[in-house]
Amino acid sequence: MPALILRTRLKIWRRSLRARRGLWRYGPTASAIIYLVVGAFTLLFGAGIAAATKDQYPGRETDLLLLPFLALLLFVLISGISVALNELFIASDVELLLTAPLPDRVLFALKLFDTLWPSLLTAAWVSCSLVGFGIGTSAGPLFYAAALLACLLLTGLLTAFNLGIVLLLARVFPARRLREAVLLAGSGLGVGVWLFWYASSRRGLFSQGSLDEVSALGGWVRWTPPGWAASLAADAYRGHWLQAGAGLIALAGALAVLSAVAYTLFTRVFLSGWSSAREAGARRRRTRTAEPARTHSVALSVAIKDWRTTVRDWPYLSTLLPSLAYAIGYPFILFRLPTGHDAAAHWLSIAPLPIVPLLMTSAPALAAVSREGGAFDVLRAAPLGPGGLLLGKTIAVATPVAVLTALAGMALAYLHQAPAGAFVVAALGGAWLAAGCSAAGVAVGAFQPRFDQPVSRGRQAGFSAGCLLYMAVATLFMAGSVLLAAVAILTALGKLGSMGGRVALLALGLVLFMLGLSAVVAVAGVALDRLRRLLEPSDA
Amino acid sequence: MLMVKGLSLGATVIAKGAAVDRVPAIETRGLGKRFGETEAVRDLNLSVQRGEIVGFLGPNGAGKTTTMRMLAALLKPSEGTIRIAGVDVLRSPLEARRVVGFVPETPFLYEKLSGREFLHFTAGLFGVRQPFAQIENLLRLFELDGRGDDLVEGYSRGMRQKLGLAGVLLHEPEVLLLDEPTNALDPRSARTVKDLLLGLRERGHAVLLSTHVLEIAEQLCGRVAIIDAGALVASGTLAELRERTGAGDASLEDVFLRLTGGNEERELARYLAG
Repeated sequence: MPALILRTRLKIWRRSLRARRGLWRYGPTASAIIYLVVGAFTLLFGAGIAAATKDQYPGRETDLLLLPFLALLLFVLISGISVALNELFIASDVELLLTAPLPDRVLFALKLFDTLWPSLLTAAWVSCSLVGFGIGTSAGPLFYAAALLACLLLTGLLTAFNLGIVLLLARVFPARRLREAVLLAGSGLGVGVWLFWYASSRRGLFSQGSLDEVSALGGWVRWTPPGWAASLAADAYRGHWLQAGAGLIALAGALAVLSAVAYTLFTRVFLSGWSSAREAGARRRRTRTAEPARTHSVALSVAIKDWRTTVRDWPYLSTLLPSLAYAIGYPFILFRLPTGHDAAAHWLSIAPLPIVPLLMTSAPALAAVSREGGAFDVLRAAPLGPGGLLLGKTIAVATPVAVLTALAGMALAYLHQAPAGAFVVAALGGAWLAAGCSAAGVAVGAFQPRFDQPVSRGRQAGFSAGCLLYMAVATLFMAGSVLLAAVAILTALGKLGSMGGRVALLALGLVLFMLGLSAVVAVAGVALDRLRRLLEPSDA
Repeated sequence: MLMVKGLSLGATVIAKGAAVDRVPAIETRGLGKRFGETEAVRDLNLSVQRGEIVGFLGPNGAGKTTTMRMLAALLKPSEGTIRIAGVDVLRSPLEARRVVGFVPETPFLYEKLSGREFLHFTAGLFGVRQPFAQIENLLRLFELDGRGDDLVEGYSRGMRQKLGLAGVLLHEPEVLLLDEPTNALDPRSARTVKDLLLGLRERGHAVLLSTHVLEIAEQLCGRVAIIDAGALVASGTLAELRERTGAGDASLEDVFLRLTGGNEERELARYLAG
C-alpha cells in the first residue's frame, strides 16, 4: 500500500511538471541549479572559515562545528513545524488516506516521510558546510561519515520532535491558525536573527571575540541534541572514537525515544486534532468596522478590501516581514553614513531613505494582482475597468509604504539631529518615492499574474524577470527625484560651486526625473492593457 | 417593492413597456465554445424574456456552466452572439456585467473579509449608492445577520452560497444567472430562494436557473431548456416537452431522461444494486 501511494504521488508530481507552461516549466531546473550553487558556496565558505580558524587559532576549529547543527536546528524547527501541521492536518490527501484501511503505523510512516523530506533538503545544505569544514581542515575520511550521520540523525530527531509538538498543540488550537501563527513567529525570528547577524558581523567573522561567543554557546547547548551532534563530529575529527560512539548512541537513542513518543501521540490524538482542524465553527468574529455614509469609489473599495484581507492574512504578512526588515535594516544598520557637525552632514542622514520604499514595496506590489487568486473572478464579474483596479491596488500598496517610509525618514532625521527641513523632505519625499515605487511594482506585477498558485515566499523573493524590471524602473524613477532634491538642498546650503555646475546637475536631474516618470507611465500602460485583457471574457 | 419573509428588498421594477418587451433579456444565436478539440457548447440558440424563469437542465458535463460563464461575460465564445438586455456581451462586457448577476456553483468570495464587509465591497464594485439598509435586509433574509461579522473562511458551504446570492442581489440585476443556487442550502433557505426568485419574476427580472433538482425546475420555471453534449436538445414548457416526447403525464424527470438518455444507466444501477 505505501508503495502504491508513493508511486501515485510520483505520477501526480510528474504530470504537474509537464502541465507547466512557458517559463514556469524551467522552475524546477532553476531551483535545482540555485540549490547547487548555494550548496557549493556554503561548502567553499565553510572550508574558508575552517581553514582560517585552524590557521589563526589552532585547536579551536572544532568549536565551529556547533554552528551548522545550530543552523539545522533553527531551520528545521521554524519550517518543520509548519510543514508538519500542513502534512498532518491540512494536506488534501489526509482525508483520502484516513478513509482507506491503512494501519496507523503506515499512515504515521507516510506522514513522517512527508515531513522529513523538506528537512532533508536543509540537512543536505548544512552538510555542505560540514564537508567544507573537513576540506578546510584536511580531516580524515571518518570525520565525513560521522558528521553526515550526525546531521541525518539530528534531522530525524527534530522532525520527530516537530511531529510530537504539533500533535499536542493541534489538540488545543485549530491547525490552520496554528500554522499561521508559526509562520509569522518564524518569519519574525528569522528577521531577528538576520538583523543580529548583520549587526554583529560588522565586528568581523574571524575575530577572537566571535570565536569566544561560539565557544560559550557550545557550553550552553552541550547537553542538547545539536551539542551531541557537534561533539560527535568533533570527536570523530580528533580521532576520539569512544566519545564519538557515545555521542552517536545518545543521538540515535533520542531519535528512537522521540519517534516512539510521536507515534504514541499519533495513535492517541491525531484524529481529534484532525477533526478540530475541520470544524466549520472555526469562527473569527471581527469587530464590526464602521462603514462610511456613502459607498466608496471602485478604486478605494479595492484598496480597503486589500488592507482588510492583508492584515488578517498572517501567512501573507509573514512573507512581507523579510522585505520590511531589509528596508528598515539597511538604512539604520548597514548604511550608517559618517556624521559630522556641519549642516550638510546632518542632511546626509536621510540619504539612505530611498532604500526603504525600494525594498519595502517589491514584495507587496509585485504580488498585488496575483494575490487575488481565484477571487479575481469577483472582480471580473463586476463592471470594473483596468484603471480602477490598477489605481486601487496602487493605493493599497502605496499608502502603508508611504507612511512607513515617511516615519523611517523622520526617524533617521531625528537620530542624526537633522534640521527641521530634513523632516519635511523626509516625509514628503518618502511619500513621493513610495507612490512611484508602488505604481511601478503593481504595474510590473500585473504583467503576468498567476492566479492558480498561492502567493509564496519564493515567488516574491526570487530574482525573477519581473523583480529585476521593477528594480530597474523604480531605481530610475528615484534617481531623478533624489538628484533634484539633492541639488535643491545643496544649493540652499550654498554647497554647490559654480552656477554652471548647478545648472548642469539640475538639467541632469530633470532629464532623469522625466525618464523615471516615463518608465513608470510606460509600465503602467502595459499593465492597463494586460489587465484589460484579463478582465475581458477569457478564452478558457 | 419586493417583499420576501416580511423584508423589503430594493425598489427596482423592470419596465415592461412594449418597446422593452420586444428585446429579450437573454438572447444567444449560434453560440459555441471549443476547448481545443472538445466542443463544449455548439450552436446554442436560447432566449429568455423579462419576467420569466427558465430552467437550464442537462447531465453533468453537458455545457451548462460553460454557457452560464459565457452569458456572464467571463468566457469568450468561439462562435455566435450573446445579447443581455440588448447589450452585446462581447462588444461591451462591462455594460453587460452591470445588468447581470451571476452566482456560480461555488461563489467567488474573499476568505479574509467578513460577510458584511464582502457585501459592502460588492456594493462599491457595482456602484450601489446607499447599500446599507439593503445589506442588512439581505443578511437578515438569508439568516446571516448573526454571522455577518465573521470571516467568510469560517462559513459553511450553504452560508457561502447564501452570501454569494446576497452579493448578486445587491445591485438588483435585470438578469440573474444562477448555477445550482440551492445546492448545499437547507430546506428553509432553499424555500427562501424560491420565494425570492418568484418575487423577482413578478417584478420583471429574468432568471436563467441551472439545477439538477428537477422538482425546483418544475415548481419555478415557466419554460425549461435541456442541453446535452453541448447542444440544446429541447426547450419549451413542461406540457410542450411532454407532448414532444410522447410522455403523457410524466414528470419532468422522465421527460429529462427520455431526452438525454439515462435509461441504460438506470438499468446498470439496478444491476449493481443486485
